[in-house]
Amino acid sequence: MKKGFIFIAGLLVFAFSCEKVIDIPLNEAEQRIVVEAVLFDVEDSSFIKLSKTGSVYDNSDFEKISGATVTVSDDQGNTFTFIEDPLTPGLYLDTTFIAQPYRTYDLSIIAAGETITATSTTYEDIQFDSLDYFYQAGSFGNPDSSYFVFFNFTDNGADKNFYRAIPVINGAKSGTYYLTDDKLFNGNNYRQPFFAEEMGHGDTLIAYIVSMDEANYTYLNTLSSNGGGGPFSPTPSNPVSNLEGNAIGFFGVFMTGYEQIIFP
Amino acid sequence: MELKKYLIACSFLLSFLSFSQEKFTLSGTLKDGGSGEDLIGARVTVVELPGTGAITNEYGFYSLTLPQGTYTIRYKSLGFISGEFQIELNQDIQKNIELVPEGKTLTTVNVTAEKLDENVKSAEMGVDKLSMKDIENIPVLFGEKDPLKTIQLLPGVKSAGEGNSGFYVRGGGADQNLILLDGAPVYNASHLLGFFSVFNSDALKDIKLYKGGAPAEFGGRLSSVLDIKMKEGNLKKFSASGGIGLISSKLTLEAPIVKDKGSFIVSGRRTYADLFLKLSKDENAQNSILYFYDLNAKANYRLGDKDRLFISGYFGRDKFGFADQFGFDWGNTTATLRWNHIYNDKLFGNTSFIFSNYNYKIKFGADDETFEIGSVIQDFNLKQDFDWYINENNTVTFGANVIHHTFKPGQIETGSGIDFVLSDVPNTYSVESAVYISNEQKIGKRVTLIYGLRGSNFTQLGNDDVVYTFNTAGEVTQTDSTKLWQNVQSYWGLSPRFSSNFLLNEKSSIKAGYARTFQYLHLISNSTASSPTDIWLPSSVNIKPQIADQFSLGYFRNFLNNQLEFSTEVYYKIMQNVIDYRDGAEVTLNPTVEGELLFGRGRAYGLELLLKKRRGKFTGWVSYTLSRTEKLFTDINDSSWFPARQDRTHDVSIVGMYNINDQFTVSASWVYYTGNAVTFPSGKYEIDGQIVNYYTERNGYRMPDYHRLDLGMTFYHKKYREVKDPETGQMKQVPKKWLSSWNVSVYNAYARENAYTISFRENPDTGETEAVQLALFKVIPSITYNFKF
Repeated sequence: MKKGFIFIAGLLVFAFSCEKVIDIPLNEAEQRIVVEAVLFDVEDSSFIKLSKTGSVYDNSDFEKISGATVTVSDDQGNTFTFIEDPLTPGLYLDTTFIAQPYRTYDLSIIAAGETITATSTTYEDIQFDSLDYFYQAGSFGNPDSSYFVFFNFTDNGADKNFYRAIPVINGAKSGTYYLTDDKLFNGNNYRQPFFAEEMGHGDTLIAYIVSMDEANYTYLNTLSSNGGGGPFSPTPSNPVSNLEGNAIGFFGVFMTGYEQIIFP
Repeated sequence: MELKKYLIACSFLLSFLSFSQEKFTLSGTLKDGGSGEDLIGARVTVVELPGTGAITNEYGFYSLTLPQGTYTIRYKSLGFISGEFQIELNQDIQKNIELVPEGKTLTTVNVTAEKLDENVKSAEMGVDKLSMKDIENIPVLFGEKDPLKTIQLLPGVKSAGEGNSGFYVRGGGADQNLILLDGAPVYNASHLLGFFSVFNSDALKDIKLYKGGAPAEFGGRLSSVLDIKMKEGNLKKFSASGGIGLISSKLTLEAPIVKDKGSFIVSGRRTYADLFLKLSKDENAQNSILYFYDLNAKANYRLGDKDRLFISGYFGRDKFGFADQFGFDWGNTTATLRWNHIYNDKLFGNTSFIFSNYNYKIKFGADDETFEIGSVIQDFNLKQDFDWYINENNTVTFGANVIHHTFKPGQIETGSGIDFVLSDVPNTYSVESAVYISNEQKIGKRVTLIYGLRGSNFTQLGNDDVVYTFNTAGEVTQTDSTKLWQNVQSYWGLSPRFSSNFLLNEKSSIKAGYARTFQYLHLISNSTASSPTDIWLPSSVNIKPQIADQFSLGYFRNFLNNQLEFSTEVYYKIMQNVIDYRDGAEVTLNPTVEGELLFGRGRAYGLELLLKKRRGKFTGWVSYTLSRTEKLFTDINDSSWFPARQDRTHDVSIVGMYNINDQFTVSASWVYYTGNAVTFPSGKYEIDGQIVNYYTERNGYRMPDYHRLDLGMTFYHKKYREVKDPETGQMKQVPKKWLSSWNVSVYNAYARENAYTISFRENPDTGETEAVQLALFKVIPSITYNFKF
């Protein structure tokens, strides 16, 4: 909704506008621990990354945190130990981990003298019903011809569900967050386009559907609007984290499904 | 305690009645003899009794009570030929006067005429009036004359952003301004995302902005009242005026219904950017829609000497559409039915029935696969106001009003091809009512006081649905089902208003004031730009009314025979229950949106200076504001005070207009202000495959300083034809019927790149994070052709 609106606004106003890089001195924030703990119901795909924040104007090769103790346990008494990958500092893996539906997982990290904990819950496994598409000829404001892809899935009526769809085009993950809760379609089919993506002849699209708990939905939602600065974005703020302890980031255990299209 | 004060005030008023027995009253109306428009603020004085006089109210009505005797009554109004008459006052007399406009200023009759030393002598503080002439000559973006942009050049009033018609008054938010068009509130006063206001200056008569203590008549917003009155229409003859500009054209027609008894005015404006899209070869572009229009209409009819009926309305809409996939339109509708009645020579009354509606509708999809979201705010308002001219020292205004508000925050409709059912966000209903009384009292020659009291009530009514109660963490703690008209939650507010003027001498005065204001409706918008989808929420179980207390002190001085006015005011304002949002708040289509809000405190203080030259070939003003606005919330910025977005330390405006001759006027305005307070990152990190900014303090940084120069030039075609008088053989001037002018303006003349937004992002080539500034308008020239006949 906002996209179309901004687009039209942009058309009128930004026709006159100009951009330039300026010099703005910024304060130096105290370094924080960053946790990205992402677990899936697919073997060999879960990971936990530990790093630190850096200066705004520095290069984005952030300091990694090695030597941490990282464990995940579920409400059935299973414990998984994530071991640092010898080739990639700060990346902790347990290749045997597979998330199960309707479980609660606890994360525990001891790193750089801090103890960080978090909890995440899974819901029913989710799959796309289908992906469908049509070819849209170039148009006003959107001059490139492109495939316009819709994804379809069916919500579980019993739970309060939160979803994210992730398009990966020719191996590149989209920067747009397609997030939705089932408030408006509980127990029904849902259909939505990947409105911000451009796909042409011969491109490969792999689309993932991810089901998550409310805390992760809130995190991703606030993360996606974090950019700030635009006239239609809210006052920028840090995403709402589900971590306990002196760290920023999130812990999410996700059920996923995927579909692939190779465009003619 | 408050009630006691009120009773004392009442008995004080009544005590003046007993003295007025052997006196008689002269009353009537003052009108513009050329068009029949009422003259607001014209002055009627008694030559034999220096210092005694009256000023006409907004309907041109005056009332003077004097001891029996013979008097010379003098009347004058800026832009009109003054006059006087003798009267033997041995009974109550009604006398209506028509003033003749001064010779050559035929096109630009200054309708907000007032006495020259009004600013020094009146007890009103923090009040700014703008004449249509000021608005006409000041250069603006795209040449669209706009009262909301012109008021931003006054001290204490700040623009909401580049080219934006939104404004902040003395540290208040953009939603804390009560914008009234003929008494009807306008909920979204902007077109096209705020770049234009909904007010078509051709249809307007008078604009008054109360920054400080608004009269007790007004309530419902914390910071200011912008009272806009529409023209009434020419009572004497048919006339038309219009303009053709770069982005819009407009036409105004006025005519008598019955000469000297009734008249009407109709004024329309439409933009035509979309017409250019039709020229495109692209089919989707041709099918795209992008325009707004306004329609103002007003009619009045004099039913007799004592009664007059007005009906006025506004209708405007913005329409956006992209091919047949997306449609978006929004707009305001207002209607006012007003009955003026002169009960007797001392009591003037106004009964108004006011309707206001704001709605928007967004439509996605085509054919039967459509999805529509709509939102509506609707008001019905019944208002009764009285002006009571007790005697020459006391004028009382009192009245009452009741408003019924309906809010429909999310109405959803789906086409037949969509097979799931969506539920609407429940409507809310409320009633806002108020009674007020206020007296303007002169004590001796030096002191004038205005004191009043406004009592208000706001009641949230049941909605035949559920009402949620939230705890401080924003979680639902209680869900109650309610019936229609059930009293769910009630708030009371008592707002004392006081302002005083102490004349030091003929040329200077000191004023002091205090006002308390309540705001029961809150605009929920967490973005910088004005968006049509911003929603209003009424006070409820969870949202307490916002309250402000403002103290102000001023010094007023006129120089050079009142040609030059100087004023300075300081103010301190404390605000309670101001609203902000939880991080990541979802405000659209959220039935539990009230749980996303945070409540805190605000404080604002500042110094305003204004030096204004009102008469002569050169007119204009210099205004300067030094101010600070801060907020405090428990859950934001570690519970410490942070600057509000609109906190700008320095704000300067310089406006100059020079009348070179009858045909040529040049004008310029220059503005400078400290950049808004903004939140910039103090660090960054990587997560979910992207580089993300890390923030520490809220609004801890500043945008770069803003400054801009606008230039304007108006060329009037000759207003007179030279004709040889056949009798005397001399040349004489005959006024032309068709008057026209060209207006050329340049916005941002020295092409300053003012930052509209600053974003921090990675340069894809170097991988380094850069601060990228977006500037909206560099030099924007425009040209408009105006005509009148």
